[in-house]
Amino acid sequence: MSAEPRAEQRPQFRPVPKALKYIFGLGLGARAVLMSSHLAGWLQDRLELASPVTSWTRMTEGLSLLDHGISPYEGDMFHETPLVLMLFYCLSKIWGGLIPIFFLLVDLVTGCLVHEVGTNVCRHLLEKQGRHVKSYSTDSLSLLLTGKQLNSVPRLMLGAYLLNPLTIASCAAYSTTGLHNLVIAGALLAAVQGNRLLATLATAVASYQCVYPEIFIIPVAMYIAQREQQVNPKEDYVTSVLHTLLSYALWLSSLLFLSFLCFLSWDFFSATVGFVMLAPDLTPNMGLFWYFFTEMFEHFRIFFLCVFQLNAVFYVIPLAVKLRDHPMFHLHLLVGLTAVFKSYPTFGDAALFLSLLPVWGHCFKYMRNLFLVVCMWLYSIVLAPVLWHLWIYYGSANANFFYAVTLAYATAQIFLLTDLLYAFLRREFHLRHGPAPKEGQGMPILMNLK
Amino acid sequence: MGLLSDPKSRERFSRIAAKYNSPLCVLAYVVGVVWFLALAYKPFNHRTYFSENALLPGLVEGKFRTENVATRISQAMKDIKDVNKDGPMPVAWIVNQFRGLGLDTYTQEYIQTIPVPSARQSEEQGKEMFVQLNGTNVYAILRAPRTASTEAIVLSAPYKHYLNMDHNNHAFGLMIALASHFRKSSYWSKDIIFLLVDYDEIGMEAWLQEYHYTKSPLLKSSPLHGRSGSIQAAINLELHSDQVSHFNVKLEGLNGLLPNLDLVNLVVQLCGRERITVKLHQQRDPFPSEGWPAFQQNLKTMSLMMLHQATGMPNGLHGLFLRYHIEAVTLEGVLEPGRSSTGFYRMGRVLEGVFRSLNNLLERFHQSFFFYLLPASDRYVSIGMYMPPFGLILLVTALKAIALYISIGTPDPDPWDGAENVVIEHIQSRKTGDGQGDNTDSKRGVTKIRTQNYSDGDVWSLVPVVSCCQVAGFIASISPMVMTGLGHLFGTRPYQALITGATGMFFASLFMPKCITRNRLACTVNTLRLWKCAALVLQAIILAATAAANFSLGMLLAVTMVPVCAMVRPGKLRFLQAVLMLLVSPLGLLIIYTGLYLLLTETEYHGVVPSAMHLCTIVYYNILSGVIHGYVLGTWQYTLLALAVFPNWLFFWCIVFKKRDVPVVENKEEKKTS
Repeated sequence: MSAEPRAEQRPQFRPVPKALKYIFGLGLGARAVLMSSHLAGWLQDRLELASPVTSWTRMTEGLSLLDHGISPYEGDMFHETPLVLMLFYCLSKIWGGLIPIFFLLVDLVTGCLVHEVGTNVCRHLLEKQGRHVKSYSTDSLSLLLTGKQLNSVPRLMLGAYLLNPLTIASCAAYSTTGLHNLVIAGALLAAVQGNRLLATLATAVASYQCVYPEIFIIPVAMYIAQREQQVNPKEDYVTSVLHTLLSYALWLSSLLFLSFLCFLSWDFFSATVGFVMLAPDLTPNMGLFWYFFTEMFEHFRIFFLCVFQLNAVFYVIPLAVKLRDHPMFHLHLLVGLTAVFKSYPTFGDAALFLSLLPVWGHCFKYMRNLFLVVCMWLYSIVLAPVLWHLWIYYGSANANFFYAVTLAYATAQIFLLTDLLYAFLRREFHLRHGPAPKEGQGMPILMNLK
Repeated sequence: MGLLSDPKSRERFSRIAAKYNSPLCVLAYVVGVVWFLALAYKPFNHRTYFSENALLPGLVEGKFRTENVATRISQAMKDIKDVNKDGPMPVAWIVNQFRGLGLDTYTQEYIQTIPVPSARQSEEQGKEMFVQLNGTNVYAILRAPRTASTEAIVLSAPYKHYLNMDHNNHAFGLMIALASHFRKSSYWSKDIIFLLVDYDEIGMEAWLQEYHYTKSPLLKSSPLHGRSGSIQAAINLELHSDQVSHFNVKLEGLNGLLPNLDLVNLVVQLCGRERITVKLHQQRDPFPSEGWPAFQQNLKTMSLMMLHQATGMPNGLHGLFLRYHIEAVTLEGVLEPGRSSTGFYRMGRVLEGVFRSLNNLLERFHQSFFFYLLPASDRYVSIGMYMPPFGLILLVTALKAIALYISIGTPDPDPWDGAENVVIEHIQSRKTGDGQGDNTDSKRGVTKIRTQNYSDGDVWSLVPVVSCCQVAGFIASISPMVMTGLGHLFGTRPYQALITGATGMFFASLFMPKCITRNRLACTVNTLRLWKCAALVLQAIILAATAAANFSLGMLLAVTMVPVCAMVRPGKLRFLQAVLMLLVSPLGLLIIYTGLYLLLTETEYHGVVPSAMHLCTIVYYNILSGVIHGYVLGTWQYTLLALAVFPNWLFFWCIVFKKRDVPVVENKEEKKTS
């Protein structure tokens, strides 16, 4: 009963725009300084920052092939999408100096988008809490979100993206990961705003650009359907989902057709999507693919390729069942999941997921491995370049040393994801059953995740 | 994953980690150190063996008989030097010697710009070195009759510019003798490059850079006109006289790199066959090889190796080859008075054997160990054996960090009497009530909420401290060069300016806690726990990464820093803590380990004051050469110390001097007065 009046006075959410200009200034300054320093050239070839898909070295190769009238997709060098190639081609034709400015702008815009995602998701969370507050336990008032608590969240997200050393380094390395993050952030923003055409377009652009976000369409469709049901309870859930899927398919095919028009050939499809899916380039990177596939007998390759790729996308189904009422959380988890399990991950991918974390800050107190995850993350980021250097340059270490680090890196992210999921579910449980639920005999119950 | 998901076993683990924390830490540290020291004991390490079967050292039959050439040439070179004591290397004469044998002979000139005068060379030469250094390398290639110059082996020797000592003319004599012997044989399947290097490391670096087409801005050199294939291995020769009593085998290379153990085994084995004693760091293998004295001797050898390796400076020209993935060792022939000695004949046979074995190689060295420590020339401790004790020592850091992390946010008064906790919370909530408690406005919302549940450590307070420490480290890393530049303007001597730059920031930053304390950071017990936890985590990462790249440096840092840093706590016994912390500061550690090195190597003792003076001089030169080698050869030890270890140490230093919240103290006094 006491929850009743709380529901009436909705918590107000006003993001504080304080200190934003410092974050922008510091982020841009750090990027510009790093870009103009002599480290930039070294960063460009760092495998942690630039994968075969996103490497700037390959982009320049593609541009020069295009300049000579050769299709960049005929060889095995270039794997970015045609539209991005065309974009950079125009930029380099207008003025070469535009390219660093473009990379700075991309990160800046991504930061803004992440900020907006934060604002919108916070509003969405408060709104949802207001709707459900009646079903919550009367004891769990202390767990409810307050506007004040969320006010600094968008700013934190912006800071976590723009001031993250990983995104700074990745921007200075001219890695197109920045661009990938931009389209994914755009997809997240469009999704949370809930406009079907815009959301499907943004998701289609993201899937066109980075392949894996195609699974985002499931939570997006669920979210849109739920919103429509709230507005108009007579709306059919399944029809809405089908509409979304159809619109998504249309957008995606038109994007692909547009790319076809660039070269009037479908070569690009096998060089971009095919490359990401079949993972033929086994140069070491921060992912899990290369070591397995170099060690493996060739006739098992197809089988394990299926296993690995399914692993990357399969979780969308169990999560869709478990988190059917929380598509936003589902969507954010998927960003993290694809960043770990994709075939050519870089540090930049993980950085986007990290910058989404502050939104779920209210779940942190239920997380149990935060310390471990932070330590593992730091270790792998510091040790990866050291062991790479020992292996490749000095020849004293070997591939296993480096692979151990990439394993630790992946494990840290997986721990983070599962822990976040656990914390979220546990908070939901406590909301319904009070912060200290008792068993039948009056004993405090123990939460267990098996 | 029981520990990660099952709350019961988690709770049990965290209870044990918190309750028995100090005993566990002490145990881990003591076991780690004892285990590590025990590795020098014979039953705990292994006998070396050949992994690479292609070397076939046993099949080589020595045919070297041209020792008289060696004697003649070395005498001739000495005569030239005697006429022109101060002059440059007699390039034309050397070229003639090689050409006389019918080898492809080339020269390479180079100019090295040294940012500051080089300490070590001026010490050797007895005069100031100038900012530019010119030299000429001479090299001759014996083309392999059986293949098309795709692979090569190098025999190198430095030409030393000593005023009153030998300038390695014996090594050159032996080199010519070997060349004249080798060119008669038809079995070579790899080219042999004979290289005489002008000035020690710089000449070698110039030649290697040019050979591998790498460039550095400070070193300009003429291109190489003659080339061979990829270099498989290199032997560097230094002979102090024509009769030697033993070979001192030098392994430690640039940045702590070591050659493949197979190459070391090969040299040791062949020396044994020719009955030439092998020593490591002038330390003889113990005989009998078991028992307490033998253990002491082994431990001494291993410690000397670690101390050398930790400096990251090559102790011979071979060290520069290692950076290019070329396995190399230096053989230093030393004549110890009163010992039986051998002449060029046996030395030549050893080198002939080494080169013929290397000639048999089918692939690059890859079989044996690259990470090892040698307690004796025929015993080794591999990476698998020395990493566990190192891990145990790091476990101390990890356990402390875990215990502190657990204690954050609990009112439990376990570490650092949290009895004040309640008071602090009270004040904190009052303060935030009227909006004064926060250091930065932006965190107000966060802090307010945190104060409600047991005032969790304020994560944001880490940002200013860590960034201040990092900035101090960054300044320390660039200050030697900046100070040299400034000193130039004011006419200070470059050495002094450089030393001021290297140590000035260290002494200046000792006052940093003062500045931080003045800044009113909300510093509850929990925040301080969080600070120390973060500092420990950073320390563990730095030490682990250092040990991966240069094990000895990581180990020496860990052994001393870990126990002290794990013990520090704000408040109590501040003076004692400060003394301990100063001892394990980068400068303190340098002094300690230099002292240890002198203790192990110097035989005579002159009394306290002269020894201390001597120690200071050596430390002074160590800093100088550390900085200068960083610029000239690209060693990263000084940079690592300045950019990682020093900031981390400074963080601990701040924790020692960090006062807890000022109002708490006032409050207590109020209570006492009332």
